[in-house]
Amino acid sequence: MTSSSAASRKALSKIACSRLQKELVEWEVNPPTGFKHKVTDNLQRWIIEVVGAPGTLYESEKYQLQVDFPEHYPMEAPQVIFLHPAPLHPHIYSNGHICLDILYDSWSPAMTVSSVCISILSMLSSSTAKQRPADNDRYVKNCRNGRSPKETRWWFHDDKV
Amino acid sequence: MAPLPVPTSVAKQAEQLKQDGNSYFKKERLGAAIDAYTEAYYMLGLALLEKHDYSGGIKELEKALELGRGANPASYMVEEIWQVLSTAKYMEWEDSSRKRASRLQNLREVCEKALIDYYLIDASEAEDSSRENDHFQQSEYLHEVFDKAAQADTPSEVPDHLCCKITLDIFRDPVITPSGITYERAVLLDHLQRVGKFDPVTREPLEPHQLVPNLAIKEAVQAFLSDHGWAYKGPDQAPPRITSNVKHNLQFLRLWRGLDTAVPVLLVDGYNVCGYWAKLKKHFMKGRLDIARQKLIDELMEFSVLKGDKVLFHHLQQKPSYSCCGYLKF
Repeated sequence: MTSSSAASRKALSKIACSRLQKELVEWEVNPPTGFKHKVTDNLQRWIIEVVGAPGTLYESEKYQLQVDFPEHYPMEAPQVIFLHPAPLHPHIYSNGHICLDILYDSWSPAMTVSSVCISILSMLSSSTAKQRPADNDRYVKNCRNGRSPKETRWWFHDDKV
Repeated sequence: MAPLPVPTSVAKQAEQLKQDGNSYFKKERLGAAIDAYTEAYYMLGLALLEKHDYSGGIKELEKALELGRGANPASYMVEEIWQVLSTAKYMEWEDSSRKRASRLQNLREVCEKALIDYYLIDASEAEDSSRENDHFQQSEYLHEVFDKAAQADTPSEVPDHLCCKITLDIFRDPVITPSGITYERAVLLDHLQRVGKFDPVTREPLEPHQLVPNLAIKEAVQAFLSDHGWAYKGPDQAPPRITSNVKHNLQFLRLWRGLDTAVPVLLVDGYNVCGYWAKLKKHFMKGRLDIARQKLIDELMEFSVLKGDKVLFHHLQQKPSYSCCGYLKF
């Protein structure tokens, strides 16, 4: 299997390009609450700023998401990670990788960057403790060679947070 | 139907393809026959567009599309014909909407002037200022009526219910799933093959044989497009990007087989070269395709002098990108 970090460097297909342009236009008209897309000329990598929702553990804290689109988006999920420093959360590793099923096994091409962002914010908002996942150190050590989270075999055993 | 304005060489090529088709058909090689027919219609359509005969070109391209889709809905030929067809339809709309707009503008000016004249006559007769208000309202209403008349020709958003949830683009070949959701056929089939056998929105299990054409949506799309020709164009203003592939280039060589084939021919996919070669890319990215094109031609001239090759250009018209091949003689 080719590493997906290499795959994400491949140019976007025509379908991916046209779909991302449409998503971008829609985002500009109607961005999800709490998110800001940092405008660059790179359609294949979006940097998105997220602000913790009021009344949650992350209220007014600012984080950055990096979204990389593969050649065959939306037939493949985008790779979404938090840039350093990643929020302290039971499903977010210190290297920014996010344990969220829709980013991997449960991806569907009917989802959009916007809907993914909303899921991530909702995951943050429902957290009751600011802590790293139990296996954080082991996992981050395993990823040292620059492995993409899309190569991880995730276990999604907890749907409460 | 007499394709008179087409250059005789192209007409001959198309005729040759048609005869190829006929002979394949007689030999019961149906796949090859359909390919030849598709190509013949496609060529004829391109040639008519070149002559700015939009409606004639569109007619031929629609035949090509129908044949191509029947043979293999996911083939690159179908995609390419669609791209050319929708660009042609956009051009046709642009042409007719320009005429409509200028007619409307003329009428508007005449009406406004008439209204003012009428008011002036009225004002000189009755020395009453209450008429001024009437006049103001009438002229406002006149503006409103003309703005409304121009609305259908003003590009805006395609309604969501005419767009696929995956491509976010207007439907071409819509199919409905047992969950009641409609998708673009080609991408949904791609999803079922690559991602999984489920409905992308509802996640209900889904098999390819369960898909049914959604004819009502297809008609709604046709109706919308016939009133709003601008919707044929995607958000990118660039001409359709054509991926170079060997089979395709070979096909174009076949189309140009009247050339002296003993001379080496270099096929140049100009659009993609301009997009990748750093010294051309900087112009290309700024939308100055014309500069990038000229620089590329200069490079190739130099190259051809060195090598003595003939150079065929692929997809490097300045805009609109109708013709698929240019030919440089040295």
